[in-house]
Amino acid sequence: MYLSNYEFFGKYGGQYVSDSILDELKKINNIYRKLFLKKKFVNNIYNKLCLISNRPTPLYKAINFNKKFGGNFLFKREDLNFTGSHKINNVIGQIMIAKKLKKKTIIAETGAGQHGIAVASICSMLNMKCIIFMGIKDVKKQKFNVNKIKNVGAKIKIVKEGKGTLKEAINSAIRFWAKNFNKCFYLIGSVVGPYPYPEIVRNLQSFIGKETKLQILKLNIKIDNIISCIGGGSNSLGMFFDFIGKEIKLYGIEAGGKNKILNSFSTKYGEEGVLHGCKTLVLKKKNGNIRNAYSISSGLRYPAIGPEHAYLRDKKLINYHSVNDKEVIKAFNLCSKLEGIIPSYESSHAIAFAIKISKIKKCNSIITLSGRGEKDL
Amino acid sequence: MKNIFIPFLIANYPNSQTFIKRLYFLLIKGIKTVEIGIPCSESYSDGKIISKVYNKVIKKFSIFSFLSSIKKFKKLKKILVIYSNIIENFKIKKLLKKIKNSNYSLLVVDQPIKYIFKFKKLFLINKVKIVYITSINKSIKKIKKVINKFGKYKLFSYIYITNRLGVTGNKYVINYKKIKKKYKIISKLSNIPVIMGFGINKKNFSFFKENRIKYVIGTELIKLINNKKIFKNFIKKCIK
Repeated sequence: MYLSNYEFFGKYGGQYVSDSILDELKKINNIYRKLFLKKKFVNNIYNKLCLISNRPTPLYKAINFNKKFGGNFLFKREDLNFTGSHKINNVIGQIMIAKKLKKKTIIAETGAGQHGIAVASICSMLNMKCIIFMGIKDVKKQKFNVNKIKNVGAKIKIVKEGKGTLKEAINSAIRFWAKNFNKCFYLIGSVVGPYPYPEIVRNLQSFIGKETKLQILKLNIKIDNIISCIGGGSNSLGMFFDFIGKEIKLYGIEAGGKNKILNSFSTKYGEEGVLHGCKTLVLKKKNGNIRNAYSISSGLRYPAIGPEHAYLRDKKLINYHSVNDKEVIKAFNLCSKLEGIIPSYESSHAIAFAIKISKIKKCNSIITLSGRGEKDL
Repeated sequence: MKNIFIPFLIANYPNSQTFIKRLYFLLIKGIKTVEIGIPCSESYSDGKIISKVYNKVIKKFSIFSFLSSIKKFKKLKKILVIYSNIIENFKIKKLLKKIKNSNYSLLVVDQPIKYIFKFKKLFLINKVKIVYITSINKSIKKIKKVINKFGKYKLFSYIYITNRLGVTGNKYVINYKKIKKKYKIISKLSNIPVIMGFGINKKNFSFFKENRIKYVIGTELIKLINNKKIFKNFIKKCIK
């Protein structure tokens, strides 16, 4: 794991928070560094994930995709994790930090519900109180996950303000945290937020890439591309981190949505701005305020991108593209019919892009299936 | 009492004309300092009432035309309460140039003081001051450290102490003893005036008045601002 001493990724990142939260972040950072510098601790988290969450997840050869489009389609099956997505990779590690800080309540935000269910399940397992903040629009759309969260004993705080999406859920969670950080720990689900959160989440999600590296060696196939979807960017950064600067082309796929206005394509349409505690690429209106993001998938409906992604875009170390809603639905149906795997709408963005590039040139691509898609049926 | 009470208004709320009228009223009544909230879509340090108003005002809001509209209030000390994203958008250089030499201070809600002081030269050139905001729960040692480190630039107009953790406007039980004690200690740390805010309303403001503690009323005023009579009466009570 890579632990940096600096709170910025180039000009992005930082700690854009009020003075009182700053002290709390310092405490979190100290514990994080103390724990994560110990190999034993990191191994312990991975072992727990193997026990609880079926790690290592398979690198699955999608034979029918290969037949239809040529080349090799390899799916990194993060959807086979215990709670149905990659989100759990990050949860156990952060809860361990919370326990060291003697917090008894965990709060978290969720869009599609995948992070919510991961946090709620582990909290239930470890006897911790759990409050999940979710926008009303997402609550209505993701009833399947909402029921799961409630069933494992977590409280859901429905956020009615604004458009009632992930952005507003994070705003509410931050408000609650600012008032209650003596008692509770904010478990951020993506590579966003003030430092050290983007780094903690990236490091915990980098299990995906590390596993994949070993699996590639066993397969003995030369990989051309790795493709992952991006909302805030946790599954993609977790997958990409160990491959940055290597020969393999890395593609981060954002939500192209419906058109130039209705999308979540922050790496193209975003400008430098501050959102949820960090400086990054943000979708903005002319007056500088945040524009509402749009995507068919709740998990990608976020008007910014993690600060490390913004940095990697500037350095041209990752290629960022988008696919539109129609392409996503097509990929979603195709994957279900050809492989019997129902991917989430989020992951379908990556699949759609893989199909797109395979039409130009036959190649060997790894696609991260970040979550299952029953919620989107 | 006119020196002790600092009203908080939201730029162009309830509308640009009424806002200017209310500001005139405060000036006539002898108020020396006002806080002005600059609308921001993601105001996560503010409570529901202020956030809701921000989102209402924001649709037609332009910060530069607003600043032009209050140019005539040069004598009044103005604290612009602003979020980092707005500064980032218009660039701090442009913003400071617009408000130079006009009795302004900036209170950046979501930015550590060490980031703001990276621009200390710009603040000095344009004669714009900085408000250092922190909470009552912060240790005196840490506050002292900040004052010692940055106080030498003479850029602080106020040290703003929030009465509790959390966001603006929430109801809470005031720990009068703690406030009185901390106010005294922090005031003695330097010559920089100390102000207190968050959760001060018509029920508890008299405590601050009686103890001559500089205080800010925000959410309570925003609730009253639409009603001219009630607003004026409340202001009169605060400065009496």
